[in-house]
Amino acid sequence: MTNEVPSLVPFAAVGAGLAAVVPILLSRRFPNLRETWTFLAAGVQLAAALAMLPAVFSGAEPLSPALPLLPGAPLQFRADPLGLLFLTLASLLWTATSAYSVGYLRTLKSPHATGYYAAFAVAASAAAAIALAANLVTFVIGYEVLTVATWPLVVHRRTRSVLGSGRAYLAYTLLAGQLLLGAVIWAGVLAPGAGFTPGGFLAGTASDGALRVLFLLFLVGVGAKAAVFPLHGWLPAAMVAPTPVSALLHAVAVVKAGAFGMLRLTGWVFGPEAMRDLGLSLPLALLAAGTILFASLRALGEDHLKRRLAYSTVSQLSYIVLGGALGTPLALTGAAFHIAAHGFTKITLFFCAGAVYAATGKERISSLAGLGRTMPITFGAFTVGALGMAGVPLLPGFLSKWNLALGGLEGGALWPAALLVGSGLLNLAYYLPILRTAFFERAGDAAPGGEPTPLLWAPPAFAAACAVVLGVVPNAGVGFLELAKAAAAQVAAAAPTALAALPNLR
Amino acid sequence: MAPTPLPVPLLPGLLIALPLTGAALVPLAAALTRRSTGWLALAFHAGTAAAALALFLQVPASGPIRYALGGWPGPWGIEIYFDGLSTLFALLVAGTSLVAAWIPPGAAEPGGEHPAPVREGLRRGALLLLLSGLVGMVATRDLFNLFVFMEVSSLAAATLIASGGGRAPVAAFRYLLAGTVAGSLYLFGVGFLYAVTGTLNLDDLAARLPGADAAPAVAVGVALLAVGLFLKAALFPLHGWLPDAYVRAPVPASAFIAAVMAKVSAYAVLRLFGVALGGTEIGAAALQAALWLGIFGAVVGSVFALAQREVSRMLAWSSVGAMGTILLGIALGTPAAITGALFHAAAHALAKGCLFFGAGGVRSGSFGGGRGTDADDYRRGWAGLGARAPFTAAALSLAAFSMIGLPPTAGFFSKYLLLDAALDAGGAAGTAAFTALLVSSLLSAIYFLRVVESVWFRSASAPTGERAASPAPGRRPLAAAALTLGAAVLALGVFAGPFRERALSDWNSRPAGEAAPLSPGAGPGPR
Repeated sequence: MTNEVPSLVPFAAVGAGLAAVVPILLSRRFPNLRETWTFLAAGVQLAAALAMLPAVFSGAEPLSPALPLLPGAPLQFRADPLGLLFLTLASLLWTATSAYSVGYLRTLKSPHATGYYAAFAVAASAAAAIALAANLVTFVIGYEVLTVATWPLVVHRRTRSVLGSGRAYLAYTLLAGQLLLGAVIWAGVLAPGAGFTPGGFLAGTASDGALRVLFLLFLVGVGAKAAVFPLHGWLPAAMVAPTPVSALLHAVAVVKAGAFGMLRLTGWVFGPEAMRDLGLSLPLALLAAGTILFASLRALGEDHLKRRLAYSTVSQLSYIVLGGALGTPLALTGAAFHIAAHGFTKITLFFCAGAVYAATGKERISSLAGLGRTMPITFGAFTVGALGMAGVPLLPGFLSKWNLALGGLEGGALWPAALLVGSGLLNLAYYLPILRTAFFERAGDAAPGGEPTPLLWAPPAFAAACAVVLGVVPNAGVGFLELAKAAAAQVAAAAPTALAALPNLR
Repeated sequence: MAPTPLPVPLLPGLLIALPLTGAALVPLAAALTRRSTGWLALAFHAGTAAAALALFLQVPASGPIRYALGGWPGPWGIEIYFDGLSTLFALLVAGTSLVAAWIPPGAAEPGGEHPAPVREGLRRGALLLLLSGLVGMVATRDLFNLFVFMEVSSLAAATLIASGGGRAPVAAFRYLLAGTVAGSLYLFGVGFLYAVTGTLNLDDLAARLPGADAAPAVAVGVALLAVGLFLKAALFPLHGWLPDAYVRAPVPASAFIAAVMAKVSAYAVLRLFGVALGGTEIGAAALQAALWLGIFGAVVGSVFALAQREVSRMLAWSSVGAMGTILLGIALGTPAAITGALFHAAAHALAKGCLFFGAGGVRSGSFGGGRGTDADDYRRGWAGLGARAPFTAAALSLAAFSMIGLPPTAGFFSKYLLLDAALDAGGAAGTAAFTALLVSSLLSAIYFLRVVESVWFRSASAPTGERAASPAPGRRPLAAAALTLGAAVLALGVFAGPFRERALSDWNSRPAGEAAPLSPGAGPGPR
């Protein structure tokens, strides 16, 4: 890590959302002004992310000054390839979601909009803090803030059952957060002052048994947000949130923070070599594989559209976990790229589900009949998203799966490839019926009206277009694939023997 | 031992003398003029706080300040002593008292009428007396003098508690009983120590004890003294007096008492055992006991808090847990643990004070939504508070987050420091403390977040019983007090690094004691 460049830009990326909170609260009587602040903050965050890209592509890492908060554990932000990948994705989609939120909340005449935008801004800041965290303490601070900031968003409707779901959400995430805090402190005692290091920093600092226990603590702590089985229960429950929240937070920010955390954990805290030597790679890979299959099967049986999407998210997140567990360069590339690939496609699907709800009030798949004709743009975007989930070529999901499967072969294991093919088929099995209902079944009642306001159909169209571009020219614009490769190369350079043998995986 | 030159040479003495003078003058003025003495009392509180602030800013530059009261130097005279730690506590005590004094006594009570000027003057006097007792306990370097200030604060606190309505006199009596027993035990202990060592000065004692600590009298003395202080600090299972006292006391007093009173006793434990008594065999055993009792107390307090629906009572039980947490940190004894415990004490004082101001406002109906114990149920009077009083509710939520230990509030950093220190200390006790802290934090997440949920996300149900036709007049001052302390909780979190390094650094550099002990027999020269 000799190529650090001191920079204040990471602060701008993290602080943009926080800075917007007070203006948003103060302009609660002026909706247009209030929403301008949101766009302004999202724009600043996005600009900060884009501004750091050239430096990162040239091999440098913008590093913020360290704020001494705790002994040996300063608050510090570093833009490395993996972090910048996540940050760019999150801020790009935050901008899109902001537009979508305006359309959604105004169409549904939702109350409590001011608190909604304020909490959204805090959550976006927390996601940026997680993405750029230079050490575990900074990561855990962002993680806890994200938990608290998303709670008001989940319980936005404030009915009794919604509050109950909010409690379930908090129970999972706060319990996990406490275990994560414990694990972070333990790691801090074992390796004082260590930041995220490609290839890990914990190997050999304690007995094998102790490190395995520590890994378990980390796994529960981070895995709950990544919705790894059996810690996934909160995600379908959190679908009571307004759809823009489900779209950004439960397809991108929160769950990706968990999946991103799993990559940090396997690649930057323990490291692929230590994971293999401790015998942790295979159990984690199998856990991810189990989650992928289990969630796909659950999704098959869900009639509620958003809940089916949620189970699909559970399944897709574990692709990323699987890549982290395999730990080979190609697997890590695929996993990191899947953060972006799944982000664009899943947010498209959620945007579409929300547009349908706002336009027609329908939430169940069986009631979507005929909507494909009356809402062609929405369902066109939905089709792109659905095919992307299944990993169809020319869409980004294909690239991540391809790399993941090759990564498995690189480690000498064939089963990940088989698993990915199987999972792709399952994806088709639960997405194609939605399309069939929407496009080919005739509505019994009078056909409902057409597309909603442009603020509701433009964001999904934009996200779907991004997904197509990303699938065809993966390095267009931001260069997500390049970032993913650079991230994987960092780990591979520090852990040269990770590729040599993955005996557990054969 | 030449005294350090000060901009105002009498500052340390003033810190104690000001509130004491005020305690006498304010009721007198009220009785003579038959007018409200609010401004006079406020002036005394402000003066004390300003003196504390001046000392707090002075000490890092000048080093510890030793001051002989009346010009009689130690070990025979009474010394008061200010280093980073004691100025921090003095500032904490004086600052919260200033916030509390802002609220007119009786303004936020069921009924809402302003008490007669004489009565008000007496209550304001009692608050000043409590302040002087607590500041004295923080500053003194003399074991007997500590007893005197302890009794002063006990009596003043009992007066304040008894001035609440309803069953407050019973709570005050229980508190008085506990305080008297604690004081007596402590005094016996000091007597035994004096009989063996012939000194009451803490530093002198530290120098003389090593030669005498085999004497059974020392063991008995230290044990008695420890139990007395643990009782005052409400260490589980000696916490019985605390919940009723906190809940029954009327509003400004309850917040001040809940914020700092027990913590000053914990501070005394740190001073006495850190400087002198921890080195003795029995002293080490007492600390070991405090460690395990603190571990249990941290969990038990949270469990009982979980069982309460009345928010004030829940807050009081949460204080039992917090006192366990603070004492376990002090008893762990490593510099990191002590720093964490002190940080926790400061964070907890600000947050708990804030929450009690809010709870007082809800009970009195100042924020609407009914009044009385019934309104204090988190599902009733607290429901919809966010809509009725958004700023206060935001401050209370911040304080609640700090109690749970969520970033970026102060509570997160104190929890982190304590967890880190516990794990670093290792062993059975360290692991148990680590686990207890995590469990207690999770429990507090449950019982605080359900209040936060009610405040923001539930709408007010129609209040049963008496409806608050006109809210009590205390709304504005209570909101201001809660906001001040809520902002302090946030500021202490955001500036955790500088604060820890500056105010608590004494314990990082000199864990065993902050000053070289006086050599036996060789008294310091005259001033």
